[in-house]
Amino acid sequence: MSLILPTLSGADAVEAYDQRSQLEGVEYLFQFRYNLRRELWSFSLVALDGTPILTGQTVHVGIPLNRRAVGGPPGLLLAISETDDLASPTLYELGGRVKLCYLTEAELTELEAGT
Amino acid sequence: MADDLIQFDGGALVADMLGEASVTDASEPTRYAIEDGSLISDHVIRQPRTLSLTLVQTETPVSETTGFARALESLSYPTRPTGQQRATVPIRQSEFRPAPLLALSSGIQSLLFGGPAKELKIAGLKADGPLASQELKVHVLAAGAPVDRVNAFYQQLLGLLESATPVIVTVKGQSYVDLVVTSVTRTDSGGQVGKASFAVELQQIATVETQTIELPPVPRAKAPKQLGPKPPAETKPEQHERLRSQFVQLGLATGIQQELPE
Repeated sequence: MSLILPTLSGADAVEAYDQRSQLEGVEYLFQFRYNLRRELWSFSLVALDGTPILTGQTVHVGIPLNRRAVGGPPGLLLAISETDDLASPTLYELGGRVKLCYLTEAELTELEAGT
Repeated sequence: MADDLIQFDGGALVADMLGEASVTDASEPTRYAIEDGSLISDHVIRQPRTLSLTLVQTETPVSETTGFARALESLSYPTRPTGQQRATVPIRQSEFRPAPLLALSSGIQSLLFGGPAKELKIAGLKADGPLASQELKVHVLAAGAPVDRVNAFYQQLLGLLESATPVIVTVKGQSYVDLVVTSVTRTDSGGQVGKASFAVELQQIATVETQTIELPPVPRAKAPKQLGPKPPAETKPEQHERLRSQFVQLGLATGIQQELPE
């Protein structure tokens, strides 16, 4: 089962917000920040006790986003584009054109076994 | 070369000839990997402009300059007085009787080939007159005293190099400012007297100006918006397929490691 992480998109988008979400039974804090100069989204992943798991990861389409994470969710975080445009999401596009998705560990195992 | 010169505070250098001039503008992009989506201009270093000149200086200028004055010189050359002379040359026409003309009547033949020997009178320029001297006046650049132009020019170039004087170089109407001489190479070719060429390298100095301005008060950074816990939503089938496809494309399933931007 793959999941879409909740993000603020379209008119609701703000440049900085923190979102708590549960992945595979563990709640994490996602800190989304938009860099106006680079025009790129980045996020940090923090455990609820404040332990940083992943910091300042830029959101690009089609690359594993949590490969530098220390600990954290065992699955894979990946951004996908709903259109043929594979550009990194702008301020209003994260959660709209580009979705931040999570592949669970079980699904990864299944995919690895199947290919 | 009148328009091609090196100007500096307090003077100008004008060579007799500009052999070659090349101007180089360049940028150097970083050799290191940068994150996809970065501003490229942040990673490119603009190199200073460089000029390479080959100047030729002689002991005898091609135009009036310091130490030389325009003077009228007289030259002479031999010539003959103009005139005509006439001469008469006899023609031995009776010895020429071509066969096809036998058909002509005897009267005409007699007219053409018979009778007394004919004469030819010619006129031409008289060439046996005595030689006379003619005068030719030309304007020349004459120096009142010996002037060591090549060495003086060399010394001036070395002076610019040693003092790192900012100069303005004008080549074919285009001016290049804030340049300093970085090298001067003098070449005296064998078999050439009174001439030397100078390879001059110049590099532009980039300058900046500082200015103090009053900034408006910096707005306080907004605290990140705190959202309550929200569970992730399940992907739709097409999103799921896209995700699986992308995963397979990554080659992670087969354990292939890729160089990815951070």
